[in-house]
Amino acid sequence: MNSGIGLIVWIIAYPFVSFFLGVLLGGYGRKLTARVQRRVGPTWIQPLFDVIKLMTKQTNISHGYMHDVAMMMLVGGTLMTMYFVPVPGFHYFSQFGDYIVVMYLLLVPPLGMALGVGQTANPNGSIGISRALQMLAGYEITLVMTFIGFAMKHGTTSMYELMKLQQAGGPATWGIFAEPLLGIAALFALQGMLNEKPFEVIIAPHEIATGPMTEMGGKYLGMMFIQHLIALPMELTIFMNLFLGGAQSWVEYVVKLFVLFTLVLVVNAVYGRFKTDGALRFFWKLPLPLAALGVVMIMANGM
Amino acid sequence: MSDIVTINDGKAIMPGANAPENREYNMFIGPNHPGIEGNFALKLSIEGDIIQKAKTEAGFLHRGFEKLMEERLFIQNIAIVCRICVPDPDPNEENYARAIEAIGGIEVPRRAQFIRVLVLELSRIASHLFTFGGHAGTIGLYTMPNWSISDRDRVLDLFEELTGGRVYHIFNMPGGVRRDLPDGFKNRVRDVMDYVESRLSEYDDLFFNNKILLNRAVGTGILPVDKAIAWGATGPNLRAAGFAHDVRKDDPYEVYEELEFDVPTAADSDAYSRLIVRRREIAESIRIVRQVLDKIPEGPVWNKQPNPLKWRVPAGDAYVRTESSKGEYAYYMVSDGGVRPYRVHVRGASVTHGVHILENMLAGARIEDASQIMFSLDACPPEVDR
Repeated sequence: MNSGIGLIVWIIAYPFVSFFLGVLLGGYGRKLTARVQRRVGPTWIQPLFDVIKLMTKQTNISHGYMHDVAMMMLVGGTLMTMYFVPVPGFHYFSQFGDYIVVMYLLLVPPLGMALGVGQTANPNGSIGISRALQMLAGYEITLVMTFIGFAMKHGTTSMYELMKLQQAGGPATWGIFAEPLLGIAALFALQGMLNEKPFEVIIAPHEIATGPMTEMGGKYLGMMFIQHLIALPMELTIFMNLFLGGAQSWVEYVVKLFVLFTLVLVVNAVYGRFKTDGALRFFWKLPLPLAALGVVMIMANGM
Repeated sequence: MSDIVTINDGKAIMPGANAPENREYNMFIGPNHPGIEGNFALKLSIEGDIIQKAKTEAGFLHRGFEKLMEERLFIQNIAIVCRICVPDPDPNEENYARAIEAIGGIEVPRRAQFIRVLVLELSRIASHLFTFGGHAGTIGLYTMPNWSISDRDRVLDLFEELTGGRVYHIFNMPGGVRRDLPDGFKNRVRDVMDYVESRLSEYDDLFFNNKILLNRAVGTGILPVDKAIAWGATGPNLRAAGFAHDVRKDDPYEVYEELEFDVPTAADSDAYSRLIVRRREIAESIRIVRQVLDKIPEGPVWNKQPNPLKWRVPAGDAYVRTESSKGEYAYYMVSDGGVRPYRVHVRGASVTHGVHILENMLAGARIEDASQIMFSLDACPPEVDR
């Protein structure tokens, strides 16, 4: 499905598939968290209902041109990144952009959000954005470090190539088993990238009243929800492709997505959130040195 | 699209948000904010993420309780006083009833005194469970509020069975309590106490020993003991500073003198100390409840007064105080011999903790600690508006 009509169908369908997966993952997350908290929880497709409700609301207030453009950057940046992350049966764009491109594009949504929220001039939003950008210095550097290790070991920066190499070698060559230091560091980074506790400093309702979302309502908030639902499977997929051998079938892909997300959710349910500096300090004290050590070991083993 | 209104136009929508000359900006926590404790608000002047000045704003729940009481019959006020502190209403009822009893020289049957202690301690447990949930919410640990508040519901079930009300009980009457214990109630109280006790270790695992809580609460919001005394702190907030003052021990009322219990204290006087003192108080309250169930005598529960509509309390005044979960509650009541109180003054813990001490403690604190410091002081906003 990486040429001809199949490719066109994939290009059109992929955002919807990703959104649908995001809805299921989001609903599962709310349900699982509710069960840990001894609640029943909402229905599994509650995120879809939330988006429908928000997107059908009348927009009465805009904070100006940049506020609107930012929403395009937010969702557009996420969609563009998504195409470069290979999934079973669809890896056409990954030949044009490797992991470095993905990391670069991953910065577009937060920057879009920063512009839009900055336009609202709400201090809660501005603090939230400042925290988001600070957090990049925590998990992003760790992620890049883990990737450098893999790129050095396998001699390629292509996410698709790395995935194929792991699939050919079997589970023993999966990143998480072959390079556990990098894998553990990346798990922490994933938790930060997904903005889940203990690294949920951007939203922090009790501190900054949901931060960037404070001044968003109706369709603007709906767009943020859509972006989150698309980004959720994509970010899990990036980790899966680098450390869990990707997936060769959609069944394997979905199972790995849910297992990985369960791990994230359980940690999220039983921990509070760090302060911003505490989160950064944690990343620089544990995951980043772990990743650096992993890279050193790869270098010591002659790559 | 023509309906869309563009506001702001790049300018600040919050006063002070674009004030480069002093780099300070204003932020509001409340009255509509996840981080506020009840009907209340904090106005913060901030530079960077450091709070320069904090001003509390009350009045969102103003009913004028004290003035209302002057206009109503003695018996009618029992339905008002419980609303002064929603999470822990019973100390208000008990104080109000005891003030009338002191002025009128009304004797309270011993069984009623035991039942009052039972209700007061159950209320303390319910209130502390509520506080744990609120405090955990400030650091984003939302599993804890779901656990502790659902466990609190079991205590509220007991209140519903005993008094007919889950939150407001209107149960302590001048001269005793309104109802005797229902059949089998003592066993159900024992079951709930066993359950709450069994849950404490789970709370420890999830919350009190949680690394993130320790990271955020230890050393945060320190209230030195000299300032705590000077500023009028009482209850767990004072005991967390190492000062073991408890009205139940120092000026015993009802039957507390006959019961064995310890007064938990801590030394560090930070947000964590205040929290852990409350955690230990639950264990002590369970201990008290079990003793009450063992020792409660048979007999009447209400030395009933004549027709409440014509009931005149003799002229005089009284000052009574109770150890509530929030701190010391005191009522000063004056009667001119009429059917209504001439004056009732409520000395609650929340004006002290939730206004004066909070404003002082927030100056210099970081914005992410504001909510936690406030919840660690555990104030009752309606009481500020009394």
